[in-house]
Amino acid sequence: MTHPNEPDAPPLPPGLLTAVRAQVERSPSPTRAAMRRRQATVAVACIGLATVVFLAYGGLRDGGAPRPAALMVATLLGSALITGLTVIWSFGQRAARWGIRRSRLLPFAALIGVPLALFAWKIGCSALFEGGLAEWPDRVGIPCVQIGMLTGAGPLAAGLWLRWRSEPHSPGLLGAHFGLAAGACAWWVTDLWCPVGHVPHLMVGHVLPLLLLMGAGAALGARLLGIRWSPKAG
Amino acid sequence: MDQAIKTAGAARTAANQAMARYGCGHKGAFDRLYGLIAKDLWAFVVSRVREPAVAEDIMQQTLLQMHRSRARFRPGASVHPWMYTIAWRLIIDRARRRHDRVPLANLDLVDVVPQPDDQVCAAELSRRLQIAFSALPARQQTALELVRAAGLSHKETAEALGTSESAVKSLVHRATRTLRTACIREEV
Repeated sequence: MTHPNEPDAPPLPPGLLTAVRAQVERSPSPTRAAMRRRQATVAVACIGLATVVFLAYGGLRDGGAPRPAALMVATLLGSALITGLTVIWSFGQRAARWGIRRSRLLPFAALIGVPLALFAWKIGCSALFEGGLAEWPDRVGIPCVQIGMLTGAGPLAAGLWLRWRSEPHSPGLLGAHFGLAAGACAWWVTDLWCPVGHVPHLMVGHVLPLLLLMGAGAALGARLLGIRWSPKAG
Repeated sequence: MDQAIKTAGAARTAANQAMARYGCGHKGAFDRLYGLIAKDLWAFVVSRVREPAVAEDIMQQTLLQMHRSRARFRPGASVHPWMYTIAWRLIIDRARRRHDRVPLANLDLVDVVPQPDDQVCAAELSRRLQIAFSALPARQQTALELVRAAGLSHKETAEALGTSESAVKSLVHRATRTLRTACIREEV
């Protein structure tokens, strides 16, 4: 089959297949089954890392004031749903399989919508309970930032590693989505750890790590995810 | 003509199946895949990169990238838009790193600009087109390349670019209009 616009294209270089075969043998790549195993291993490692961080910071606690069980359950279930959908969307890139039409706007809308949804859900649940939005003067939110960044770093690094030098349509945007998914996971762990619903605290301790992870994902994704021409290859 | 289209379609289907098998780790599928896509890919690359050594390098890197990413190839997807996109991105990246102009392929631009009568005019028009093409946004360049030069359908191009068919039509239309405007403006 000839190329539509190059009916007289020169013949293939004679040693090309041999050269490519040699390069392929030097660069083993995972099959689909191996990739699935790799993804499962990475997911387990990320959950393990988040658990270690969570326990190292004291685990489940009420911080000196009892947190109603109903508040905790409602907050965590809602944020778990949003986080789960975000993780599947971002890491799986399954828009087409969900029957959602490809759109340039939707990925950008998700970057704004997910943090807003998590924030609104937390505020909404906390407002239903007396004192849920009260200020905790000794809680500025620095430990929450630390937990968020430590638990979010794992999934972000994993996403970047799994898609390193692949051929995404928009490397920066994909990186931002990995940051978003990592930040949403970090939000859930932080929610589990921190009972405070005061708005300034949430902005510093819960929203800021999510935004930082998104920014880091976008910056790193633009550098690490796209394919690059390498003058040394071949 | 119909027979040629059927043969090309069958070759593409076979290439898609070979790539899917290669993604599963079937030994021997790479050689089969190479046999089915190498000529198309080579023709695509040499139409943009005139130096044979560089074209061979781009060809090797494209095939190597397909090998590295084989786990991400979805069974049922088309291999041609994917390989053209990889090759095209490598060509663009190489041009950017060397501060070269993005190479202008043999785009079928007969309906875009008036055709000149003599060789001097043709060379001048080619120069203007190259400048105008280099100034196009990357997505418009890629869409125009894949539709006009690689001969992909709007649907295949949409798949390659991760966008909708209507967006591809819009990109190609805007790129064509910009090229036409640039050529006409310089003529005035």
